Order: sequence, then C-alpha cells, then structure tokens
Amino acid sequence: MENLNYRPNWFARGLNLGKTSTIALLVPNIELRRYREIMSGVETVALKKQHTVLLCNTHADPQEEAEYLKMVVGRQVDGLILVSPLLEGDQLASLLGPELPWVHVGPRNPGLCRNLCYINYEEGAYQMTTHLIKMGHSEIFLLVDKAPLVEMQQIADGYRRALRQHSPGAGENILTAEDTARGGYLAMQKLLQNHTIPPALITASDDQAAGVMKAVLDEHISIPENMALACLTDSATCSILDPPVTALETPSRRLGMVAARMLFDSIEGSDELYGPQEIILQPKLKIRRSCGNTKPIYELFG
Amino acid sequence: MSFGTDYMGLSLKNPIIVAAGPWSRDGASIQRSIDAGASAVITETITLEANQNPSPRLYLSPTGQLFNTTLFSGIHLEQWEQEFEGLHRGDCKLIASIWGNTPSELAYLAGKVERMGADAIEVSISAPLGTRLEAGTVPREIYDYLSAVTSTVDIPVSVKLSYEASNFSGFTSSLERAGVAGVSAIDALKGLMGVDLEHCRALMPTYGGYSGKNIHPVALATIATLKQTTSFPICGCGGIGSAHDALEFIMLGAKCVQLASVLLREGYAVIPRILTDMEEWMTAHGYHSIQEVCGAALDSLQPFEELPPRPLTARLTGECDGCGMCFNSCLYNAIVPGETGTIRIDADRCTGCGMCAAVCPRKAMELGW
Repeated sequence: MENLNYRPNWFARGLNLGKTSTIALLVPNIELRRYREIMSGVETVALKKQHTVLLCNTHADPQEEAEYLKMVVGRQVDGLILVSPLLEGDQLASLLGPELPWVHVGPRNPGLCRNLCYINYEEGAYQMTTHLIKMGHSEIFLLVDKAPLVEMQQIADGYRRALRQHSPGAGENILTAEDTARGGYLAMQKLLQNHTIPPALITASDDQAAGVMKAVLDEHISIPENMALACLTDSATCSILDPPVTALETPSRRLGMVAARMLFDSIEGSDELYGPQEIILQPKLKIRRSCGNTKPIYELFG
Repeated sequence: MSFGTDYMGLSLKNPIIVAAGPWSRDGASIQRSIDAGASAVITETITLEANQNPSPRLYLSPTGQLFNTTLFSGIHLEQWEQEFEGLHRGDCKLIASIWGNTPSELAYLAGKVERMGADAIEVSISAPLGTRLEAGTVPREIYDYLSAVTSTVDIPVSVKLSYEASNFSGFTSSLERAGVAGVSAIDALKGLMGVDLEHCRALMPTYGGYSGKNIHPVALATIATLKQTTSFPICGCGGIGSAHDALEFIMLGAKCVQLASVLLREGYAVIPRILTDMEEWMTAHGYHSIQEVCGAALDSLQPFEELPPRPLTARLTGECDGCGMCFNSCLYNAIVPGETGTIRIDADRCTGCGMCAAVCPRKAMELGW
C-alpha cells in the first residue's frame, strides 16, 4: 500500500460496508454555550468511537430543521442526535423512517424518540426561584431567550411552579430578549427607561446577566442591594464578575456525552438489552453573592 | 485452612479487597492489585463525565493524618471500556464503583459497567464531599436511586456508606427494600487538616476526606452497629494497615475488608504482607476458616444500659516511680503523693473511672474489687 501511495476512499468504503462512520448533530444555535457544550460532549464520545460529527445549526427554525434532516438522511449517516427539535413527532417520524437510530435531547414528548435525555431545567428554575423567594423577594422577574426553545418553556414552567408554591399572591413577570450580553443589556435598559427596577431578576444565561450588570452599573444601581440577580447557566465568568453571580450549573457537556453514548448503544444494537432509555441530568445551584447571600459557606458548594 | 469468604453473592478467595480510589485509576494500576493477590479490586469511581481533580489533592499532616480532595475518576467511560478489556483477572473479582446525580444516570452507568464485564457494583452514594450531602439523607430518594440500579442489572449491587448514613436507620432500611446485596462502611470522614494561625488561612482550600488509622475506631463502631441493626453482608473499611486491623473488623461482623489509605502510604506490597500475616495468625490460633472468625467478638458487646455496675477501685500493683501522671489526671482527687516518692490512693474517693490505670506509663495501676 505504501509503495502505491494508496489511500482508502472513505466514501467508497461506506458504500461497501453500509456504514459511513458519521453521525449528525442538530442544534438550534451553535453560538449559545449550552449547545456548544453539548457538541463538545458528543464529539468526545464520537472520537472514541471513531466517528465524525456532521454539525447542523437549525437556527430554531422548523423548516431549516426539516431541510437538514433530509440532507443528513440522504448522506446516510449512521445515526443522529436532535437537540430540542421544533418539528412534531409525526413529521420527524416521516423524515427519519423507522430504521435510523436517533436520540432526542429534550424532555419527553409523545410520539418522539424512545431514547431521550435532558437537563431538568424546570427543576433548576424552580430551585433558583425558590431560593430568591427564601432570600425575601416576592416579586421576581424572569428574562428568557426570545427564540422558541423548549428549554425556555421548561424554565418558565419551573419559575411558575415556584411562585405558585411559595409566593402564591405574586404575579409572573416574564421578559424575552436575545440570549447574549447585548440582549440582557437592552432588556435591562428598557426596564430602567420605564422606571422599573425589579427587586429580583433571573436571566436564562450568564451572558444576559453580564449585559444586565453593565446596564445597572451605568445607572449606578447596586447589585444585590437594589436588585438581586441570578442566572440559569454557569461559567468561569460568573465567579469573576463583581459581585460574583449566583448561577445554575447545567451539565451540558455531560448531556452531550450521554446523548452520544445512547446513540452508539443504539447503533451497536446493545440497547435492546435494556429497553427505552431516559436519562435526566440534574442542574445544581451555585449560590454566590449577586442574589443577596452573605454567607461564604455556600462558596464551598458543600 | 480455608481463607475464602463470600460477600454480596460473590465468592472471594480471601477477605482482602482493594477499595475504590486513585490506586485503581486504570487497567495498569488495577492489574497491580490483582497480581498482589487481592480477592477483588474496586475501580476508582466512574461517572458519566470524567472529573478534573484539583492539584494538590492529597494532604498529610505533621502527625501523619491523611486528607484527600479527590472525587472521581479522571478518565472517560469509553476509556474505561478499554481498561477493562486489557485486564488479566484470574480468580480476582472486578467491582465497578459508580456515582451519578440522578437515578437514571446511575442506572445507565450500572448497565454499562455490567456490559463491560464488572462482576459487581459498588454505588458511591455518600461521599463526604460535594453534591450528594442533602439527598443522601432522605430515605425515599435513596430507594429510588438504588432500585433504579438493582432493577437494571443482574450482577450484585452494594453501597459504600458514610458514617452518617450507616447510623441512620431510614437510610439503611431503604437500601434493604431496594434490593442492595451488601454494604461497605465507612467512607472517609469530612475533615479539615487545620488552620495556619499566623496567616489566618485554612490549610486546605476546601473540606477533604479524612481517612487512615485515625478513623479506625469510628469504622469499627460502625461495622458493629450495622451488624446489629441490619441484615446486610458487610465489608469493613477504615484505617486498615495490618492483619490485626483486618481481623478486628472481621471479629466484629465484617465478611471482608477494604484497603485504601495504606496503599498510598506503603504501596501494593502491603496486600501480600497482610494476607500472609492473617493466614499465619489464623493457623496459629486454630481457626479453620474466615467464617469461624466472623463475628466472634460481637457477643462481648453490650448495650450501655446493661453494663453491670461494678464498684471497682484503683490500687497500685506494680513499681511506682512517682512520675505523677495518675494524680494529674484524677478528677476525683483520690490520688495524692505519698511518702518516699510514690502515690497513695484514697479508696473512698475513688469511683473506678480507670483513667489512672490507662495513663500509668509503667502499667502499675489496676482496678479491682
């Protein structure tokens, strides 16, 4: 082989063996860290299994989703992972067919894949809202991504459940903005222009929280003294900001690894032994200072 | 003499198991324990996402107390598949230690390690550090966690218990209902090495697991308690560094024991040393099997209420050199310096607490009627 400088043709081999050693991964927005971390986890496992990952950014648009699905099925991928799909179960079933192994990343939805995994954002938002209520705030605002993502729905559900249970008289205040620092900044500016300083604000991501902090800094408003702040994703930035931001640690990379493992179990046929799989990952509260907490003990995340 | 024992349905060639920890962090290190003669090796705790362990993560105090801020395995599940494949196990059993945040995570890991060829599972559910502290004490959640595992796999499932969990009957009874086949106790205690007074700094940046011979008495008490309050087969763990230590656990009801910190301090060669010493001791004392030793000392323990009141008092029965340690520690003022540099005991004041007999460096004091 060396003498002839022979290099196997990947495509031809695929035709021969009936496998392409490729899996597809569809995510709503590759610019958001929560989806990038899922990608990282998927890729880590795929590499070990010597598969490449075809990455598809669907921009949270069901039409783009359908386009991509047709393309990857046409490419004969060995399997696919669908993160927070917007298409309905029957549409997906007709696009994918009964044979193609796939994993749904998102909460249970009738008619969708039998193999699913997700982060329990609903429980995470519930815990964060409850924490702020216990810190003494009855009026809590929630800022979510304006894109129609199922994670945002879960977050809103958890927020509402906490208000119902622990602060029954309180009304809900849900705002939307781009899930970026700029989106957070503009949303906060808008509130300030209407002379509204929420006593407490939860943002869907730490990027939005950073934008919110800049907006209130510009107006000389103090966190947490004038406004308590918390966010529902965690990063190294949260502990660097001043005050350090109370956040929800969401194991997105682990979620990606779990999804990929479930997919390879399905591709390799070993999932037959254990039946439909549903793996739920639990987010974790990281209580720092921006919510009004003064006890250093929480920083050990005991 | 038969050195074998059984634990959670596994038949072991001897009572020495290597505990979950960094000395079992991959195939090569596990192979060393296998080659050293352990009857079973437990892997470092495997999770769905490899852990980034902090540096440093092992601390030794000036008095030789060991602390660790290590948590779980630093290699991925896929890597573990390869590590398992490369092992030459012989008659040694391979037990996978697993940890998960939710029942479904644990169930997936359990199914995976069973497929990878583990002979049994040890669920690490009550590590002293990190995330599990709260849910780990709620019985219904514990039932959900463990029954997710026991209903997924056919291989036996055991649980590594913390000191707190072992003494909480709600916890252990939930484990029984969930079909757990055995328990090992205790995991490391939660400790802090100390404080630098000059600089007002803790010597460790966070809580650590305190292990080694200083926790041995706590572990012994826990084994005896578990033997009395549950019906599980028990594996003892906590400061075992010699055959003597291992036999203490077995006499209090353990079917087998785990070695942990001693492997860090003395290396894998400690395994054949302990095995040889145990066999020698048992043979010399006429024991034919581990079963005969198991629980042999339990009858000597009584509930506090049933301790008979005995009016013993202290008396000098040996040579006294007037060192004064006994009357320094007598709370009842029953000891006074006597003539010629010795001591005198006032029998009316002595209430037989036993402290003087314990502190006397020449063992010259005794309690008697």
